[in-house]
Amino acid sequence: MKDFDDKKKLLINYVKQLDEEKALELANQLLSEGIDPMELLELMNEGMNLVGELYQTKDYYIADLIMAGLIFKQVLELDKVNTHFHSRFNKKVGKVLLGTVKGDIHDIGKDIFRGMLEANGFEVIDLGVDVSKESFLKKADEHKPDIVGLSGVLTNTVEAMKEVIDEFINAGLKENFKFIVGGNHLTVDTCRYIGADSFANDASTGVKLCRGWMNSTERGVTDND
Amino acid sequence: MNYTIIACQMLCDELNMAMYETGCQYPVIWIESDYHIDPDKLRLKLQEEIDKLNNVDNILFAYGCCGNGLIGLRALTAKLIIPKTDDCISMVLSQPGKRYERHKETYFLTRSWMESSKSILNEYLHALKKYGEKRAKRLFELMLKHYNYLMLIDTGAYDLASCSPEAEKLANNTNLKLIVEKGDIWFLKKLLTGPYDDDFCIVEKDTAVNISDFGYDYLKMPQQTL
Ligand code: B12
Repeated sequence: MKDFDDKKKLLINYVKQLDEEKALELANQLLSEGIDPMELLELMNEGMNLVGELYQTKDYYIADLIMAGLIFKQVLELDKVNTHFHSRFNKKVGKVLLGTVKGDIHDIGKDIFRGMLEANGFEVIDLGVDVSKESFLKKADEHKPDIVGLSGVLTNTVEAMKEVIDEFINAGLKENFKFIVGGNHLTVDTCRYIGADSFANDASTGVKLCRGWMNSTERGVTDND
Repeated sequence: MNYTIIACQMLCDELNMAMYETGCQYPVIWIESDYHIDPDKLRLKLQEEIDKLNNVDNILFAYGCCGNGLIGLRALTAKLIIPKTDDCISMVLSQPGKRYERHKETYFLTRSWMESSKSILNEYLHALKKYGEKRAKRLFELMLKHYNYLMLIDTGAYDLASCSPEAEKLANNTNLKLIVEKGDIWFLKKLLTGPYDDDFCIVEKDTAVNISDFGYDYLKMPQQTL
């Protein structure tokens, strides 16, 4: 058992050190020794958070943030992880339409959120970056998602996010979807200004909110205020 | 009236030029540009510098909103004057009285952006050293997958020719097309001379900078806690 715990710690450490090969090898090994894939993802997440901290203390570079994202993505794609989440969620938990709003082309955060959603059984339609309000509306109409997720790191994306939601209001379709906005700069007040149902400054909070919405049978309740 | 400037190193050439052209001699406190990596740390650092000042009536900031790094700042005895702009890129590329639209698919450079310790060039060198050429290229493809251009902004405040070879090399390594566009230092000059009209956030003493001061048109929001 101690050996197993040591390996878990080691995995976090490999992610933190951005050792792609060793991290993947150990993740595979832990899976064959029977680790719950959900727990594996939590370990990965812990490692990712450490990478984020090292970036903030200037020890790491943007390339390192991206490397961490790559390792995370590859673990999600490991056969055992993949089949686990597929059989566990053979019916998709929910559908999310996601994109970085117009005027912004940052996407590291959006991609992490997407990966976490998928790991949690959501189907994600990713519209990419610099997505116009018209596109969001059109694609929502086409794919009928449960949730629309808007990402943005630039401060002025608050306006772009508001415009997307106004577009849905004007089309009379706002009530058909739940809206979540995400980015480091967002607050309760910006969220209210935008008119979204909720917001998150990190991906795991975002996923929890989405899961919560899918679990509540009564759709259309605002649990943000 | 006593004035002090708090300025980001990223604007060092441009501010020095603006000071020279306007004959402005206010003292300048230079802040390392690396703080832009983390807007929360930037805010703490700026507040620390504000709190150290004595006998100053007006503090001028050579900053924009910078990812909300300026939101929440407050001086007990001085007025804060901040350009109403998103960041240093919009500051040097905008034109007086016109709405600024950020160029699509473009990563921007000035001499200072190239020389900062976390510049995209140093990013590349770091990745090369740590991951080898093949992986470095793969990481950069992901980082810059939505970019097609590398724009060297000619602000007139530094020697363009001395930067071009490096910029060229970087453009090659990252598969971007190098373009040059004229920028301007009118905003910084106006910061030094006034008039402090609607181009600036004017924040009275003992009041916190609010996101609505930047003209983002938000509802007045409760102050962020530092
Ligand atoms: C990495 C980065 C870049 C990379 C982006 C690579 C990429 N593929 O995205 C590169 C180097 C290319 C880049 C370019 C630029 N950048 Co930049 N960049 C950053 C930086 C350092 C980190 C952003 C990031 O990826 N963080 C890591 C991720 C994981 O965090 P996140 O985005 O917050 O995402 C998390 C949550 O928010 C959440 N989340 C995200 N989306 C969503 C969506 C939903 C629905 C939910 C629920 C949750 C959620 O989950 C994520 C994981 O927890 C920030 C500074 C900062 N610390 O914020 C500046 C920053 C955003 N950039 C900035 C600038 C100025 C630029 C440039 C203009 C610089 C230049 N010289 O050209 C260009 C943009 C050019 C253009 N034409 O638009 C400024 C923006 C200022 C402003 N106007 O607001 C910042 C704030 C830095 C600064 N203070 O100057 N940048």
